[in-house]
Amino acid sequence: MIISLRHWIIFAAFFISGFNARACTDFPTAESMRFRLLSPLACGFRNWEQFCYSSELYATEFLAYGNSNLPMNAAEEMNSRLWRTYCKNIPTVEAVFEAVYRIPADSGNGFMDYLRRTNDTAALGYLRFAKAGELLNAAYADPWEHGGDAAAQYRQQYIADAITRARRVRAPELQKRYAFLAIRACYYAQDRETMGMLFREYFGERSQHDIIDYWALSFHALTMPSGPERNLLLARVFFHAPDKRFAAETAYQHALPLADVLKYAETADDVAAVWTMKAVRNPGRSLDELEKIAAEKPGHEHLAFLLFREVNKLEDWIYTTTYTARDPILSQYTSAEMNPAYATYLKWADKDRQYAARLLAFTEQQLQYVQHSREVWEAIRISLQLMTEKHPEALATLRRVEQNKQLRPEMREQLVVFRAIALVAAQAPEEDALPAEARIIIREQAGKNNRLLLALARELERKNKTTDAAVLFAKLSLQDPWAENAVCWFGRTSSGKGLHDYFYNYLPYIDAEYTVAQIEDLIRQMERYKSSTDNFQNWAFNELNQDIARLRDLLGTKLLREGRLPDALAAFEKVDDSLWTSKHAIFYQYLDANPFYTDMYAEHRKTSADTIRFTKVTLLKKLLEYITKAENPANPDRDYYNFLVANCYFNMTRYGNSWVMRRYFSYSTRAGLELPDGPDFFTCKTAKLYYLRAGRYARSRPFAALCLRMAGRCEKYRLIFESGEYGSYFLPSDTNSKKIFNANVYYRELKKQFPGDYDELISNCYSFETYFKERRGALTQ
Amino acid sequence: MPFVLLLSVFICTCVPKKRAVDCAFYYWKNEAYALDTAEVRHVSEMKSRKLYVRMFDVSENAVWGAIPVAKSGLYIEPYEIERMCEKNPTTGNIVAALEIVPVVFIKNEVFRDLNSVQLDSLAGNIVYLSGKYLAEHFPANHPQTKEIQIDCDWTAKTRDSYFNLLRAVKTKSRLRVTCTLRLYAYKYSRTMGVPPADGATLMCYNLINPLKAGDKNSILEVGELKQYLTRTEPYPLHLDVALPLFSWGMVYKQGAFAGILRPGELPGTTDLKQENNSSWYTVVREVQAGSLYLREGDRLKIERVSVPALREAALAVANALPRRDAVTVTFFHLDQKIIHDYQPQALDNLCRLFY
Repeated sequence: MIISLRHWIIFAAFFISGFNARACTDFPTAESMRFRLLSPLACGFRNWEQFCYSSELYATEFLAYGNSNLPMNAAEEMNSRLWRTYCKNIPTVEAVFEAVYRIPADSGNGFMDYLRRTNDTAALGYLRFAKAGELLNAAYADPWEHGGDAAAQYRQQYIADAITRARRVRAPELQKRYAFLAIRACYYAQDRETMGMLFREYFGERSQHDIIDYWALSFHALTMPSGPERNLLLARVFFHAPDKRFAAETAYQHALPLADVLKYAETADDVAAVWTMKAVRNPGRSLDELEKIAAEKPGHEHLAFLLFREVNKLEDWIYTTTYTARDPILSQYTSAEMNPAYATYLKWADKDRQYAARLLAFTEQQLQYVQHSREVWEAIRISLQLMTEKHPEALATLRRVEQNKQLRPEMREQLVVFRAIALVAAQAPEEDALPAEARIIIREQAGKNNRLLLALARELERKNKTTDAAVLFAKLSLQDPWAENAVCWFGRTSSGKGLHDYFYNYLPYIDAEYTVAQIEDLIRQMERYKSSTDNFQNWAFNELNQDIARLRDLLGTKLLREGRLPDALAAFEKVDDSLWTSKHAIFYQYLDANPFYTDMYAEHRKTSADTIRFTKVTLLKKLLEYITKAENPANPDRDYYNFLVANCYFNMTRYGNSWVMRRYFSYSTRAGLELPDGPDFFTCKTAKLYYLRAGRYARSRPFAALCLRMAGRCEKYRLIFESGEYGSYFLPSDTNSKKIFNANVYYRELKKQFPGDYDELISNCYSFETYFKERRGALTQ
Repeated sequence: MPFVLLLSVFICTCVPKKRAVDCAFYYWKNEAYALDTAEVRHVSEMKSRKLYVRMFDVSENAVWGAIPVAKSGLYIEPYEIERMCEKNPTTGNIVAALEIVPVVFIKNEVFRDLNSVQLDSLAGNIVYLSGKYLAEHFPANHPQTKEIQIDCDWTAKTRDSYFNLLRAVKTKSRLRVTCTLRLYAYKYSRTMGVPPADGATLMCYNLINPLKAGDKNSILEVGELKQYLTRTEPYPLHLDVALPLFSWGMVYKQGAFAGILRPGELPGTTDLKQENNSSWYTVVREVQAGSLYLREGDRLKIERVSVPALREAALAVANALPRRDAVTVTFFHLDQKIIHDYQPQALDNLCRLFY
């Protein structure tokens, strides 16, 4: 393996590129960090999207999907069905929807043709009138964009026309619809008086309510004075008019006492509606509210959404902490408690699993009342069974639900995700291979569902199956970190948390988190499956196999960090030369530096000694050779070799020219302090030890003085580092320079033992060469 | 030296003078907010100097009267041009230098019962809103704009109102006002009148009612096209040319027309069976296509325009136009779902037929 030291730097550059795939992207926050598995798309919730659990004031993530995936929203369907009833159930709901919401009033379709065939000119006239007025329904309607409310001049006439038509038309359904159009236009015209009159006349005394009643009520309630009665009406609108939920909720005053609002409740629906308002935006536990709703309306469809919302909360509380290894986006804990050790996350999750168990009991109890969309309730149940670690039960529920042939594709996909987690989580730790069914799902979902892969990787880590987990993390490394479905994760160990903020790529992750033994096992497994005929294993190890040289290098680096030099050498010797010319190499920076040379000041800059090239292998071989010589009591030059070994260890610290031997990136922070060689990397402990040893064996006073001076240099870095007084370049501030200098025991010792050399070594910037050459010139070999 | 000069003069006088030809595109989508990479590539590789952008349509509303609908969402922001320049300076410069020509499609029904005051107001609104969108959506390009185009299928009944509108737009905009010209209006200019515009773009497509086209291609039927290019005297306006690039599918359920499928909405070949090598297909498997649900037995007519057909059409139109005029050949329309079937070089070659 012939690689110059230049290649170390090149290597560092491309390794960093792999190590920090997301380095240039935004720090992941809030929604991008929230772990969730149960999707509103799978459950088919309509007009609830904004109330999904989210760190945003109102969730927006699924709005677009909600609109594009479903042909009509819940309110549009209600209105279309109402028209269908008017037409004696003859046209299809779809035809009605198309005519009312999608095509011009003079178009032809099943519904319009029916009206023409039956000569229902009243209904046709209504549709034309309603569509013509659509542009008036905004606070500022200004089609030509001149600025201002251009619609104002048209509204009064439109209101008058609508009232006239409401009074003239015979069909009560159309009377009500015209009255609603007038009320809506009054709302935007801020004509409360006419609106109140119309509401009382057409909607005040109705016992049967349909969507038109609730639409009219929504405008009426919005213009009422604040108070508990208005809150009750808004809750009623929220409960019954899906498309008015957002308007009703934003107008609802949560600060008013709930008991006051409940006093106005007339029906069980009203009571349930008020408790729904309390639950729908609650970021904490809402089981109490859910029980209140269930007491009035057992198995009600709104409970399904509210339960789904609780599941999303629990996913955040349990999975964001244990899978992403990050605080929940909406935490129940104080800021002082946040960002704790991973063990604390596990404790938090245990408490939340108890809440999940209560929710599961509630869900199962309610299921007896559920008439519609049972699969949604079952999906919630499975989700809670997984959270409460009832994996066999989850698999049993899955088997039952999946028999339903009518499941929507999104729900089927959701169940597949649950199945994979249940299979992997239920597996006994001693079982060697992943379950065959899980393998199929993993292969199908890789590249598609990154969250699932992360969840499975973490479940495997829980079982100490780190090699299997690494396979999944490697698959995750293929994701585009900018993609919407990209996931990142945080470290669980202190080094994981310290070395990197977060991970999108497996290499920096295993660098920070995996032990030498775990990486050795990974490489062993890769070798085992190298010539395997197992399709899954070939696919699974594909990315890792391509990185084998990088993994061997990582192993060598980790061994070096642990001070296991011969083992590190053996690992480096196995690194394939092709690594240095691979596509990853970025030739923009290099430093041909001599690791066995330093002076009193040189850190990363070139020195006169940089005329010789080393590779990781030749460096380690030379270092081992020098250590042997340094430790040989019979060697008359062991002071000199101790000095060279000290130089090399110094150069492999944060301050030296060969730091790439032990790190893949260099920051000015304390990153990596938690690694086995963390303190040494920043405080030069080993280098100092060898300088002092060199001084002890020195055969001349000037060289002994130089050794003490160099030990003093190491001590300086320790003092700076431990004072915390370092900026970008690890330099102390001016005020502390003197303090740190005076605190340096080795400088004091230098002055005491070698007063004649002190000034020369401390104050003459060029004295190093004189002192060093003097010793090198006296070498016996 | 005198000999060389003489030779040059000789060559210049003997070789017929080429027309100046510009290749351009219509941008007809209103939902997109930025040019797609493939669209930029076509504009760039064909070195287009103009992009005709449909800014909005004008429709009739029972309450408001004439109102703009289907407003354009297209923007060419300075930062996008900067990014293009970083990637490819030539492309960036071409896009930055594009003359954005606002196109306003006016539905013919708008001109029913429109009095002169309303007409004047409509012209003012069109000029105002086009100018607003030019300035807001195309800050780098709008200074280049020298033209506005009005698109309308006017009839003999609405002709006078429409022509008055064109005059009013000219007065208010102080731009070069052009309009689209259907082949029928080109051939029968005595009946249809000659619009009072600075030029017109001859729309060489949609010659046949798609619902009555039978096996013919309603987008472009060259035989049909040639029948319209039989004027004996030149058309009194400067003419540019528009050629079709689009395709569509017409769905028939139980023999009745049920809707149109745009490119990208057409079902896959496994869901369809072609009928006797024609443009007609039978649905063999239920499938969702766009907003339509196709059932077994539904019929679909898929119309596409091939490059050879375009070449034949271009040659016919090029021969019919006066040789002295410069001409802009505009392709309808720039949409990544469509243009991947037409390589920039192939379109460039079509433009060259007009030299």
